[in-house]
Amino acid sequence: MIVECGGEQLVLNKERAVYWKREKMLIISDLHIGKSAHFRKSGIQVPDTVGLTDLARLSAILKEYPAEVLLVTGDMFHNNINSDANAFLEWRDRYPVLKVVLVKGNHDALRNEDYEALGIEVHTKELLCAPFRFIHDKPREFDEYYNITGHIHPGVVIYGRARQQLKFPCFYFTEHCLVMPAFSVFTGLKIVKPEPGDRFYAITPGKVVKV
Amino acid sequence: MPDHIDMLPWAGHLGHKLAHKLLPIIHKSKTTLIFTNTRGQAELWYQTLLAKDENLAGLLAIHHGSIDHELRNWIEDSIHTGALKAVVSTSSLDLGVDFKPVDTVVQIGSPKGVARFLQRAGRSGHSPYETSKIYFLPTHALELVEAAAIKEAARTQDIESREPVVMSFDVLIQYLVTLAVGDGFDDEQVFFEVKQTHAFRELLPQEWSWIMQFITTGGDSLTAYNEFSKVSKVDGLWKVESRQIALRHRLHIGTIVSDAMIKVKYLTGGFVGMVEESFVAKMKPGSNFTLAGRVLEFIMIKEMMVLVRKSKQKTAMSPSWMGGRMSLTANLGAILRKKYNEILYKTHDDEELDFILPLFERQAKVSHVPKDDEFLIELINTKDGYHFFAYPFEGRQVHEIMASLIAYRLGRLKPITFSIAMNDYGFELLSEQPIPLDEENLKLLFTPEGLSADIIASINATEMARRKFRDIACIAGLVFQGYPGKYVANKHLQSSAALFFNVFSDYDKHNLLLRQAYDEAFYQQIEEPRLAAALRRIQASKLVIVKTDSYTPLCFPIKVDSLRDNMSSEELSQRIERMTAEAEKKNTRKKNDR
Repeated sequence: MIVECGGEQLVLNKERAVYWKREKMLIISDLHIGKSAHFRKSGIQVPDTVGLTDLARLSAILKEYPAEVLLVTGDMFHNNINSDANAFLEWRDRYPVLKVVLVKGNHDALRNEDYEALGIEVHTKELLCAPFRFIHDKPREFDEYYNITGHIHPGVVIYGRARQQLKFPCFYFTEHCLVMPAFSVFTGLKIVKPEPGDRFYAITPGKVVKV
Repeated sequence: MPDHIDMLPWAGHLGHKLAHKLLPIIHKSKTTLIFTNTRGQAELWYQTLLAKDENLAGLLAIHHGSIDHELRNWIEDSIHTGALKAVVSTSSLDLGVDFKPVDTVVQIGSPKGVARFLQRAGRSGHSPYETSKIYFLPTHALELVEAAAIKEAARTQDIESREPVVMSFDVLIQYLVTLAVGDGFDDEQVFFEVKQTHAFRELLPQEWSWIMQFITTGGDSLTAYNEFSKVSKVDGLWKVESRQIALRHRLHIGTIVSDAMIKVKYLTGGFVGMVEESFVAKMKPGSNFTLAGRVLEFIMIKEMMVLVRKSKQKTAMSPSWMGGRMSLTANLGAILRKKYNEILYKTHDDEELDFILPLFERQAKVSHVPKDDEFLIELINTKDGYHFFAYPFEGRQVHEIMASLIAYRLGRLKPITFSIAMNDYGFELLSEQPIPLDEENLKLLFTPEGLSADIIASINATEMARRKFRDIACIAGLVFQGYPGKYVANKHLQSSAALFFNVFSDYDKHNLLLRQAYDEAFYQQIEEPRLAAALRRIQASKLVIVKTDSYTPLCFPIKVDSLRDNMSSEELSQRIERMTAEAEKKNTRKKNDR
């Protein structure tokens, strides 16, 4: 589905990604690489196929678009480097020309050398690329830039008559912000309370639907 | 007994209008235990009793699972010494504690089963040669019938037996890790011990080795993760070496499974108890709520703790806790059906039944009162949609399955989506489309023929297993409810049972905990033999279909019940499209109104 945002055309992909055609940029958020290994280190049994699935999904999307840049709006890695990062390194090697840019989130706590070794360009606070500001969590004050953020893992509930309801991850547009869905499958949802003027695009198993 | 039938609502579960009836009972007894079915109800009753009688201040206490441990210990000690006149409690005081001074017990709301009621009664007069005394206080009108039914069951010793739980892998995992946190264990010896228990006598060696792998390598042998750490072998014994993991496990043992809980603390220091995060989310600075019988003013959340001060207000809303919901037992259901008969025919000598007669006369006028050889269906059309009510009196659990079954069989006639609600008396199917139903096909819908196949096709086994998995994930230590007061350090390990359920379903199908969830869903929840028996009884009964356009006294309690499920024979994508279209229609309508 293509939406108009800040005068630009953005493609909303059902695999929880946005493609910005003009800049040939694929935008995702909250990838949480290493979350499963982090859980395992703490004695909680999570299969590592979870992380591999995320990377396989990412590869599949990259096949769909001629992206030159992969931009992650925060929480690319979950706390520290561990065996899951090896899988990412292998994946990274398969895309030598792809530029990977990270705007740091609250979980991104790797050393600068590590990011360098993984071939990732890091921005600590934000990245301005008019008309957008890429930032992990929405800024306190709004200005002329339209913010593209992640962090909260937005979800939406669709209500029908006769008290029916369904819950999905979503792209959440407000007046100043687009909140991206969390890319990783090993993440929960926070159901967003809509305010007037907000727009939601729910990600259903088959496609993206405007709500 | 209420003074008048109008004092009891048709539906609801609080019953506090009858509080003034309870006071004389408390006064004339030495110590009274007041049992409620939920924690929220306990909080409310505590408030109500204090408001009705100020002399009880300092003599009345409240006890439930979300109250700070120290406070609970103090309350238990005070009951022993006889310092308290009455205690409002949930099932937290059901078992294990014997209090000499308690001579009276009050049950508020349906106890759901004869055994449970008698167990609670046994909390009073707990010495040889003493008689136990229990009062029943109904929270809605139909519960009066339950009172009469329980009296009869107690008289005829018609008490249900308990099915022991078997093959709970989650509990076994918790047990093994507990041993490992202690002195460590020898796996061969413990396997032998575990096999001796009734619960695990069918445990297979391969299941045992799966569990050992689960706690030592973090998965099955194909995917051994070298960085996994939980239980490892030290000097020939399996032990937990990491102090952090050990600490987390200790804090976790025996926790009541619930949503993410958050501690409540006074600004000046001192813990009060815990509430669910979702409840706190609705709070604003200055809002008031009650916990542990105190009215508290919300100040802020700091370091994942709710900071409060004593409120000047007298009353406030009480938090809700997600707890287990008991289902009516088959046995009580059968006696109940018999009692319904007796009410209209007046062939009884229960004062409760005389009392409720007006309500039944009303039901008879607007609809019909089912006799025990009849089966009542009510078809009601309101602006919410088309309602289908059926009253098998088999308990919430059986109704849940029966409702899905009927929804599935109706779905074979035409694609249709229902939302389902039920209580212990009956169930409701609600759809936005007319329900394809008439006298002809009704018996066919309720046929026991092809039951097994239809159950499997109809119930959303995944959904049911997912619900069961909530407890399992918590007991097995996958999901953690957080350290008391140390929530922040724990944020990076936050997850939910639902998430684990999805992950295991997608990537680790052979997980035994997953299998346990499905097993429990099938054997404990579905109770196929009981369902088949109920359907056969329905086949033998006379069907009564009533069409009306307003809610009846019988359907009302179901209507207000909030536990709802969806059952659909439409494609998901179709449903989404339809629901989105409906939502849009509603929006445009709203705009036009403006």
